[in-house]
Amino acid sequence: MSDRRPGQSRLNLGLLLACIGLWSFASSPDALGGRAPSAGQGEDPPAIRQQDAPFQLPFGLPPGPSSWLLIQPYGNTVFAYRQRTSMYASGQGLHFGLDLAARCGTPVEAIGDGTVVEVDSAAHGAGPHNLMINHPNGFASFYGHLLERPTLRPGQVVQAGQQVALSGDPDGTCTSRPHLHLEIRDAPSHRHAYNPIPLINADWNRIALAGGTPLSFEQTLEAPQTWQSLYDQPDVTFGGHLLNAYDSAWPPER
Amino acid sequence: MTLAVLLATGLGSCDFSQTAPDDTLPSFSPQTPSVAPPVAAKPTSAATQAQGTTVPVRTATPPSAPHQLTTGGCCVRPFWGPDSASVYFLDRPPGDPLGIYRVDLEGSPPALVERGAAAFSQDMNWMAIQAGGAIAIVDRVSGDRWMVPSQGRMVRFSPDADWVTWQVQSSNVANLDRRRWSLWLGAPNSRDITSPLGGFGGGFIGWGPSESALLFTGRREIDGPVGLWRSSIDGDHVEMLIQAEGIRGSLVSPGGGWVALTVAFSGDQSLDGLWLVSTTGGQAFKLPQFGAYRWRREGQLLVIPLENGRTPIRLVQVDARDGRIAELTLADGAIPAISDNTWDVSPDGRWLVYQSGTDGNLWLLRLPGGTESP
Repeated sequence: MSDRRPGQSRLNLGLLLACIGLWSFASSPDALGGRAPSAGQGEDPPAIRQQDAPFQLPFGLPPGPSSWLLIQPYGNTVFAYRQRTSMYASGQGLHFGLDLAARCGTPVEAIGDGTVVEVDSAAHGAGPHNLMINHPNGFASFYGHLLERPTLRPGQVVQAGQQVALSGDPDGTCTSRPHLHLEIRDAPSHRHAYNPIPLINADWNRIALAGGTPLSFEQTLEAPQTWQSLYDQPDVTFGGHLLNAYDSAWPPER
Repeated sequence: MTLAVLLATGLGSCDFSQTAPDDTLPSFSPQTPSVAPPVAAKPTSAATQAQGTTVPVRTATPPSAPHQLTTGGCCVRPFWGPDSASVYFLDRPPGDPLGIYRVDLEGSPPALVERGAAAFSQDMNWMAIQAGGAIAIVDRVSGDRWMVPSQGRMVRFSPDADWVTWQVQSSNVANLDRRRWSLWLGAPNSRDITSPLGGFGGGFIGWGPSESALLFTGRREIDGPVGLWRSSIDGDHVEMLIQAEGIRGSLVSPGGGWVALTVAFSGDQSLDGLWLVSTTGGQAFKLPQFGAYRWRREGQLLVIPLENGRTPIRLVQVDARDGRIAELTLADGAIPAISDNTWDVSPDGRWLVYQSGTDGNLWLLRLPGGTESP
């Protein structure tokens, strides 16, 4: 069991936001998590409280079966837990981005104004092609599993909503698992990843209303309600220790 | 009001469009093919696109407001008991043991019913638990237990708990289309197991009517056609029910007669969307709505349309047997937000439990349009 708690991990993001004067962290939707006192049904939904989120969606079309769908959220997903010591080991065992399924060739848009800093960096994975944009608010956005090498060059300035790439498939087939892997990191170091959900202005609980089963996060049997929602997930420090090295967990590992 | 329903069969597509007065429910009568389709039902772009609108369903009781079942932001993954009188979840409240807790429909304080984590059969007479690195099946009536030779893989109970199944798949193949899987099954209290079928991509999704068939998605051969399939339990007789790329989110109806599934990113927008497929042959049609879905009863699907967050959450009911599509009347703002697509319908179809997207608690809503009982 990790000694990091959601409150601690959120503090990092909160400090960053406070430093750049964007957001009063006290009103973050992340406060929904854990065993906070019941807020009641009359409280503003996340969509309203997210109105100051600094970024926009990476696709121009609304979600749907022909445009894009959220297929794996950020954080302590069951899928990531089962690969915590392999695919996701470098990200402390968590899925450190959002997976948004989309047909190959779907235009990907910059989630905010910024400057291209890396194209096809081998250091960040998420092949076959990827793109990193630094934003003036202290964040960076990373776009992975792109169909082709972006035509942008490091140093090039982009605007929010500008097409910057085409979505692809990590397996290169465009039928296996075509999707965009989207991360939000700190800039310029890119050493930390943050949950994009509270940082992108969208009603993610509505976006998650697709398909026949709930989103699924791994539960530690020490504290089964920990990190169990889209909004309540810890920050990641690349190269840090596993956050989900649980003694016992549910569902079973295989 | 037009309701065009796509019925894609090997015999060709049929258009069941009809006009109905605004105060009546739209309906259609799927025609049963006079002979079995010579090939699998295959959605085609030439098929009629469904364009139905919906009308409020008549309710015997006024729409009710939901009421809160739990407090303190609890809990995730709720599931119903077989009598539709209790909601269960895994929790470890401060100062209390880890276990499966139950609340009744009045929102009683959670009561511990089983220590530890477990997955249950639908009648809750059996449960699967972790035992060391293995999975054990426990008869909750007698207390007897058996170890399942699944090498720690989680098992699923068949609807009548006559079988347990688990799936083994290659872990060293990234390409999902080429990932091989095999299904294993056995009686819950026996070590006699068999692997009747396997495939590539997709996997086992559930049981056909009366546990007489196995349903799965993907390919039988690595470069073969992809779709939804039905197999005899011994694996000797396999047939394709629908051929389509991009199948996901398959959900088998309580009685096994239907599968709700999503076709996404197929390259043909007329095919992309939410489909209902009969598991007994011939019928497959695309719904005019797309979103989150759960079975309410056999052949009756509830859909929460995927819509802009500024609009209230709606519930649409689809009857696969006669094609009726109706919007259930909810109290204004009855469901402000649902967290993480976490909602489920009681086995008797009368109640919906959901995790609130505003407070994380479980809330209960009485569904309109159901069979009213005292």
